[in-house]
Amino acid sequence: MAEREKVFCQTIYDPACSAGLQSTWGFGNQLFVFPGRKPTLYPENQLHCRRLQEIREVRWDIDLYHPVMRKLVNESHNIFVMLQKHAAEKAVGGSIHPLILKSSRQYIAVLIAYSDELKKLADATIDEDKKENYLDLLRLLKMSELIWSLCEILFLDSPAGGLVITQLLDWIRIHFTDEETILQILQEERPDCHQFYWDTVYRLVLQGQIDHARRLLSKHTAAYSDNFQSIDDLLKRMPIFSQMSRGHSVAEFDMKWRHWQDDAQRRLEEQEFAGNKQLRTICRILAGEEAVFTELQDICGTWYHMLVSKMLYQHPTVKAIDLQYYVQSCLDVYRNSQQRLGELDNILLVALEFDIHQVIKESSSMFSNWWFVAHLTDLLQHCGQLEAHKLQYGSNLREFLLLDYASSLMSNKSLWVVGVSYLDHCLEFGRHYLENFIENMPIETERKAQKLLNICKERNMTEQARSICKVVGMRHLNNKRLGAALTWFLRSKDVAFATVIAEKFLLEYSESGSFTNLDLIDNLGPSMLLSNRLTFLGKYREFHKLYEDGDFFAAGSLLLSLLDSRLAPKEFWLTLLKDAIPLLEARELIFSSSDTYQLMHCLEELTKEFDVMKQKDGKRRAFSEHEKEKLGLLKLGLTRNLSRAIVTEELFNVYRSDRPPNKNNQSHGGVLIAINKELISTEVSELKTDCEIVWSQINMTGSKNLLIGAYYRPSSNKGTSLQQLELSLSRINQSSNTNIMIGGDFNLGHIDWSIPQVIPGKPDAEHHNKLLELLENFNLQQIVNTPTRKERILDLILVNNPTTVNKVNTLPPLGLSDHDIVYIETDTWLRKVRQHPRKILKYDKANWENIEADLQKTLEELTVMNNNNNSTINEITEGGDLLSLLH
Amino acid sequence: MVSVINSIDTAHEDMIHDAQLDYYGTKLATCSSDKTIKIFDVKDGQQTLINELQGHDGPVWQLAWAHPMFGNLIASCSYDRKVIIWKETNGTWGKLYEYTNHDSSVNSVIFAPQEFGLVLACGSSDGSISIISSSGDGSWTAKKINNAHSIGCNAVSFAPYVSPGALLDPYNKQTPLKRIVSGGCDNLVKIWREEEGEWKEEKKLEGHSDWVRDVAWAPSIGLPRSTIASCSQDFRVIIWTNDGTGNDWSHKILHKFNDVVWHLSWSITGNILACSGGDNKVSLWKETLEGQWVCISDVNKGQGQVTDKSISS
Repeated sequence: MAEREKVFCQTIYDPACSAGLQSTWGFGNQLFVFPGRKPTLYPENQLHCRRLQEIREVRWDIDLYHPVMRKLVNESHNIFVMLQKHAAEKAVGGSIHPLILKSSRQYIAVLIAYSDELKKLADATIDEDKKENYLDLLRLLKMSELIWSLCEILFLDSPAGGLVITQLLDWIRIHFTDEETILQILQEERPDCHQFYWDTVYRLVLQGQIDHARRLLSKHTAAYSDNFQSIDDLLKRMPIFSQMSRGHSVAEFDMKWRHWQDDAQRRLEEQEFAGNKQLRTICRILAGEEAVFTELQDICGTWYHMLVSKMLYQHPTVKAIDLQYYVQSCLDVYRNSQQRLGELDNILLVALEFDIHQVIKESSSMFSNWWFVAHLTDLLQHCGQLEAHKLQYGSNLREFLLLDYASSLMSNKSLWVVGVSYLDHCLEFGRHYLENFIENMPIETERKAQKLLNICKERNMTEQARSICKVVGMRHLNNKRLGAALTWFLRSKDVAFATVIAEKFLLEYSESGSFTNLDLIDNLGPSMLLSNRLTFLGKYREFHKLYEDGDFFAAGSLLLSLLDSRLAPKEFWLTLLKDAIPLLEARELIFSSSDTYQLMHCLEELTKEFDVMKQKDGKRRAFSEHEKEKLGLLKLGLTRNLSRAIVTEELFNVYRSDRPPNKNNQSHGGVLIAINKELISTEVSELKTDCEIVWSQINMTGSKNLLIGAYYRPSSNKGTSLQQLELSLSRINQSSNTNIMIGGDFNLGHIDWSIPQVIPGKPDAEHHNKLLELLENFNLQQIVNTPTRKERILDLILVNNPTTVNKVNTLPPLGLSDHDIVYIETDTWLRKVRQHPRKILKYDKANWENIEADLQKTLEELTVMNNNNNSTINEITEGGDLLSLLH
Repeated sequence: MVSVINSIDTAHEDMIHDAQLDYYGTKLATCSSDKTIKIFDVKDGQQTLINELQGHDGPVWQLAWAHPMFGNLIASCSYDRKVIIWKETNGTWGKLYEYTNHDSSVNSVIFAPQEFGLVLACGSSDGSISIISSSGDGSWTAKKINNAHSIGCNAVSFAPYVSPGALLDPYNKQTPLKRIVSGGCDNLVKIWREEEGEWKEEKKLEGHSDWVRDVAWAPSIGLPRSTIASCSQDFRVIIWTNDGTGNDWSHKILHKFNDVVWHLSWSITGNILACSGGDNKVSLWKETLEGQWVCISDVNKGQGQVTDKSISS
């Protein structure tokens, strides 16, 4: 193999450096060469050469990059692929020989087509360098075609009985065509006076083109003379093997041929053409006389033309395998002439010797690209020629050459795709080569990246695909194109980077309040599951969409599930909770009570965490003023929503005393008590008197019962209401072991509850005193000590057992009310009620129409109440259970 | 046919010591005795100087590009005992990290295969080799192999990311070992392996009779075997191979040149080796099917014509 390789040498003139030369690899067949050397132990000052330092880019095997050759590469690629496909199909059974032959013809056709194109281009161009370039390539193609055709005749197309003369003649005719000269001669007034008249006739005869020869002869002025007629007669009767091949054996042809040639020899001996030297020469050819070929060596031009001509007239039945025995005599003829045996001759010679191995070897060193050997070897491999010849390379020669061919294509920016396809057909190393190339393929554009990815995908090269995606993604990330970057990271299923990008998106949102790349986020689909953060991003965006579309319920439940599932990162909770505010304030009730509890819980958790962080690390950020304000709003919203939810959800027993309808027969307010249904409660109707009052009792096993009342005293009332209250209180069995708690708007704001005493100088002292008296008589204490409306305490809660009350608070008013909410927590119960399972409403499965109808109804009722009366809701919570008083 | 397509005027004021193409072959970085590093865009036959990096106080010996997934990073080593890692952000280059833990000139620097993360190795005239790695959050840690080569270490090269035996047994999912090869003034080529965070000498390859100037571990092309090329001041280039099953390395002398061989590098597919040196020649070598190494091309520098000659060897 060693001698197969040819060393190409390129010299660069550059005195810049005597120190040495270094080189570095580019992509594919590319090398950068520059003067210089590796470090020495100490810098050598004497070596300083203060001249320009140049780096040279060196490439080889690049003639295929020429535009015309690129087309050739592409077209032959199609033939190649087709052949591989058919070969694979036929491998199961049947002969692929016709296919191989067809492919071979196609390759030749391509060579011819592009030779013509190059010739036209060369003729058309005036630029000398270009022309030279075209002609160089043309020579290359011509040579390829010549060798290929011979190889096809010898190795691929084995004709019946191994007779090759017909094909050889075709081969010669194509490469030594005289058509133009023939036409020229025929156009002459006297064709026989043309200077090449006889040369052309000789050549036609030598090439077995009998019809053309006869035509030319018939134009001769003496065409009708006897000796012309005699030659014409001989030519006409010349047996041609291909015409006889059907139904006739080689022996028959041979007999016929001998008979005909005997005739020719006889005419020669009889001096039939003595008077005409030219006709005599023709007859000598026909008779197969040895000497005449030597005489006509200039007309044959080459030894192989002569070989074929000689065979035609001396051994027309020669077998392909025997051709080599006649070669030497032809070579001898040309030995003394100025022509020396060139590379081309050598290749043809070894081909005639049937040394396929040597043909490939010589060809690969002659051609400056791998096109020829790679394709020819592939064909030979397919028709089994390589095994038959027991090459020492075995079946790997084909792959070896194809790899080289493919590699030489990889460094071209348009041919590399073709190279990939060739590598696909190299079973042993192709894939590894491809992996290495793909990894290093420059990714200039998205389109190329896409193309590379497809290549990886088709071939299941996950590692390389990942690397490509990562690189492109990183590039986008560095250029701040988050959307594009995310697309690429998704493609490579890169969890870490997808998370990073999702975080960046979220940060962007929390800074600017809007998303870029909406399309992408909206269409994430299942790919969002790649990373938690990404899922959150996708879901969060979905929340926004639902909200924009006005589907508040779905939005609300999504928001809640994001918080509840802990999918949302802690840093983002504040944003999510802030997003909940408009939902809490929506006209419809979006969050159920249990939802509200969950939200409250999250808020609590977040606040705590902030506190902890602040303590641990003073530098960490605390809530900003703006955030604090938002949190305040949120707390308010949650409380209001909770109360709405409680009423709406009918989780409570409601005891109410409605005010009699007004003169327009409209109901307008009253008092009510709502008690969680978890607690056993009953209305105590015997305590009802003629004022706005309602009583209920909660029965507790093993503990004091709790008697809860709601009361309203209109400010305009002149005393009857308090008397009725007194009556009601008096009906309570004082001896029974009961905790009493009654609350409501008494409209008596001029009492200093810290003493307690009526504030002097204020109007309506009578009623104020009456209330204090009542408290004393029934052993009750008023526990509200913060103003509930403006600066006055109008909403009071009276209890008989103040120690049970742990906490009294006011909360901002609800709805249109100008009264604050009074909120208390008590420890009335000694026994804690078992905590019941939390209920999560599956809103997506709900009967929405009914719910909506119900809600609407409830809402209307509520609105009516609120509008007619300044109502407050007093709430009493108890270990998670809640009571609500409303009047 | 070999032809010079372009020549790039680097405008370095002194000898160039290294030129490295980035991963895709679109940017060329050069370094020189003039203490600078220059970066050229070499796309589509155009060459434009993009940047000049200044920061070393002595001749810059060698450069290495990181895998693009880490961004645009270059590591450079210099006579000033420093290794500098440069990073490009929005077109401007700045120092990302400076490693100063060598006591003498740092001769060679190389990045590990990207699968191992952002890791690089460097060899110094103080005889030691450092393996520097980034945890990704900007902090760097270094491990040092002291006395790797007495008198000095001239070259280091990383093994490709292929676990031994992974090609024979694709289900063998064990993580490939981090391995490096180094060459030094003790005429030795040494292979090092990381085991539980420590670097250990795996093999000592004896074959050269003078300082080893360059070592290059060939990319994997799907064969289980490993191939290393080394060149030396003894004018020889040696190809070391291991069949992937044991710890035995066999060697073959690629060629004995007429002068010191300074530099070696493998093509992307690892089938062609470029050798260059003091004989002012760059020659390309390819292994034939029979395992012979043959020269397929060479580029001469010197006075002369463009020639195209056939040599039968």
